[in-house]
Amino acid sequence: MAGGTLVGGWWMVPAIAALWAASPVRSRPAVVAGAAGLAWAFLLMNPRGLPHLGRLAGRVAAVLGIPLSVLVLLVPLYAALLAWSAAALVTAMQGTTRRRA
Amino acid sequence: MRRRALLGTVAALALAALVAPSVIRIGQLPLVGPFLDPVQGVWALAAGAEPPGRERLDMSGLSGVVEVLVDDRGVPHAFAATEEDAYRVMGWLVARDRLFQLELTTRAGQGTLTELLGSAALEADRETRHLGLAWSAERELAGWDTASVGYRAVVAYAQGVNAYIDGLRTRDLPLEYRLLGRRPRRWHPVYSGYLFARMGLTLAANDPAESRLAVSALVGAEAADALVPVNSPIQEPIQPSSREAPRDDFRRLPPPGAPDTVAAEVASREPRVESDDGSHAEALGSNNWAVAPGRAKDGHALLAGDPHLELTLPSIWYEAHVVVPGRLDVAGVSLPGSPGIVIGFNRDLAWTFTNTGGDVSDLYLETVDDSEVPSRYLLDGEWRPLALRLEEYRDPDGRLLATDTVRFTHRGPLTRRGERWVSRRWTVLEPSRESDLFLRAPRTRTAEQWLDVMRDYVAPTQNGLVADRLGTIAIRASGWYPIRPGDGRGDVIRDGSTRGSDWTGVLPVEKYPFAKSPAQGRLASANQQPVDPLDNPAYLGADWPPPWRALRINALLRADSAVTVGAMRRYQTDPGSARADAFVGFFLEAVEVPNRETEGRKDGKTETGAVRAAALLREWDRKYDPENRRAILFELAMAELDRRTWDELIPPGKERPRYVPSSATLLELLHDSTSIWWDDRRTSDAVETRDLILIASLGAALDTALARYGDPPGDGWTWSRVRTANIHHVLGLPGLSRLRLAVTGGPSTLSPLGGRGTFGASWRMVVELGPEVRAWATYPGGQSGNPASPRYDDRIRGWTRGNLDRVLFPRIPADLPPDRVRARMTFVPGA
Repeated sequence: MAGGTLVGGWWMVPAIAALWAASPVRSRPAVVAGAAGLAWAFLLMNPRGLPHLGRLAGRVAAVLGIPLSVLVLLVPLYAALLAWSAAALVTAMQGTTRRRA
Repeated sequence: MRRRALLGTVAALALAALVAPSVIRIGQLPLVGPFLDPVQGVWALAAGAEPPGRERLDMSGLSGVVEVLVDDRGVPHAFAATEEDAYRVMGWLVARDRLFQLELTTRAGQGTLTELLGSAALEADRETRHLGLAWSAERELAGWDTASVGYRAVVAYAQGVNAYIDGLRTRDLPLEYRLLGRRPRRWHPVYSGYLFARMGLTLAANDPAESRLAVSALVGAEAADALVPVNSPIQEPIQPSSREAPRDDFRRLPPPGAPDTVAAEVASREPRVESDDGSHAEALGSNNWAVAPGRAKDGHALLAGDPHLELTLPSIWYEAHVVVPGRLDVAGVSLPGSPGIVIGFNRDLAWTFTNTGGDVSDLYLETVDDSEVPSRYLLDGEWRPLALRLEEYRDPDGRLLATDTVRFTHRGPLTRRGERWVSRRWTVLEPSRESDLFLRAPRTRTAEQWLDVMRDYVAPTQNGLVADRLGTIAIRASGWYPIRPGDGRGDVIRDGSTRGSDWTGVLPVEKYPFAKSPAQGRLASANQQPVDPLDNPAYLGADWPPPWRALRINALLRADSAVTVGAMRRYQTDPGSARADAFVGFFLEAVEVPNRETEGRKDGKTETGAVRAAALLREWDRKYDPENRRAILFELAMAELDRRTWDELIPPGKERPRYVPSSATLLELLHDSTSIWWDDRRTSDAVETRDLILIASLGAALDTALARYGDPPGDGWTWSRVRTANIHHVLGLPGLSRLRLAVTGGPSTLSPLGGRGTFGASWRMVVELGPEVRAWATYPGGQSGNPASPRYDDRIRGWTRGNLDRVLFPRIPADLPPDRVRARMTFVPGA
């Protein structure tokens, strides 16, 4: 997830989540979601940006009119929800396909 | 099975709901996915908050290597082999630090804000285009000598900006672009022209003719002459006169007369800029002063300057140091968007400016062929075609929002006023080449040479103060002063149907207000009338700002015969007020001294309130420091005094006057206790006198203060709680602004603070012209426009306290102490 985001950006999260759900590993969507959230949280901890992250987050939160904690939590949460919805959709489709087969 | 189908449906809807706002912009929300992306999203700004310790950058167009060291104040020191290389790299550096500001301010001057901000900016763009600012900048660029220093520098600067933009990665995109869902546009040399045109508007928007029209429309021409006077009632001129002390030139104001109907037809409907409390806008302006070696403790000339402009984040200024060995070694501040140091110093001299406020604009009542859609105007009996310019206003997606046809006579843009059409000739619209001058001036080595360069300065008129290491101090109010026919006044609207109304030329430089190394050993300007009319009655302007700041700084300098650098710095934030000194006595006397005018006519309640207010006011030390608890009472009383005095200037159906005479005129009126102007016509059952108005103002001020701020012993009256400096982000985003800053200063103090607190000392600089030039400076902001950067607003705290930083001024890169270097960049010629 982290690598995908590094290479391709945010949309790699649902893409990788979908592939992961379709793979023989077949992890549960919740697991995929957790991995995505952790990946984005990890990426936020960029050593170069870390000293300035609090200052930036405070100002961006103020601009958006939301609490700082909400903004910061939104990052891994968004990744997790994206991943879950993609993985869950693929899982649901796979289940339907197997029954038809 | 049903459960799986339900799960699939929920998942699909969730995915759509999460992806949609990441690919389609919904309202004002940024695209969610790209915004929150931890690598390319807004968080990347944290990684870019500080420049890398060392960088090597390829830049095409360079003739040689340019070394840039960025110090711990965020100031780049650029060492180049040629000036063009230096300005090319400057463009890149300013783009890196202020990219969004570059685009916003130049679009403001061009009248294309709607292409960035949408239809909300349409009226602002319309005003800009109807003023002719973009037309003038484009005309200037088209006529520019492409071999000139200025043109080549502007082109090089533009190339530097574009080099940065072309290399911009998604992760480097400034926050404002992310919020707007836009990307920066490439830079064109003409944008520097838009910037200067916009600055011209800021400094020379007011035309005394407009003020006089607004007053004439209500009380007639004779009264307008007195309320919008050509000469300030208090003379403390810039150019030293033979008189040692300020001179009051008070006259009795003629009574209000019949409204001038022509003035009523053409007077602008827009109120002039006013502060919140309705007082005259006296916070906009600047200071500069210089002390000759004979009056400086260390025997070196000293110079101080603080231009007062709108306080914004990022700051209106960008600090830099540029070295081209053998050609240029200059430090100071530039305007983002234009090469050249505008205010600063080199190894031999220092300079700074205040706005002269000369009358550089005239209005002409034109006769047109069609009052609805004119195509011709009458001139000396012949119909002449109007030049037409179609202006299109587009939104960020290129869709057409509106169109206008802007008309021009040979004088300038034509605008409609009711049923009439008025054209305007304005020196700000004349080709002027300020860029050339701000590039040549820093190469000079003596005050004489600097003054010689500034001979070519056009608009708007500026009091340029210079001091050099030879001990010369000099000031000249430079710029074009139009020579008008007849009585030479420019504060009247003229008949546009005859060339006889046109300017016949401009004053020669030798006639500009000027002083060099005067016997008094000091010079100071604070936007006051430049010359005492007793010494030179030539018309240079009208409706001058009252000289309160000039009075204060001259009093301080007169009393100090051994001025130090520390004193220069302290004076810039001196809390004293010549205005308070002038007015407080009138309030106190009105209450304390029994007089026939008020006996038997005092309202008991008002009387009691005024007595208490006077007792509180007497406790005041007439200073505006943040902890002061009486200044607010005086300010409320002054606002009440203005409101009650100038009732004749409130147009029918309105609540506030379109124009408020200056406090100098108000003081003049105070010396005439029986003037009919004191009668408040809104009280039909009474005829007020001066002292009754003063008493009522005091009483009402106390009532307001108690209601708003509580009882005096409490903290509510503390000056820093009722008046603060407010530095707004350029887009007005509260989260990126610094608001409610406690500072020293009030209306008309040397560090002025009035109204909404959004104007003030945008740069403060003190320079000592000793064997080695030393400088101290700051501005309320930071070098970086990146809100993640520690240099976004790091200077504000020091600025609020009146502190100045020592400015590093290395001759060579090795002179910069290593522990003060935060980044090193090497620009090499690239493909």
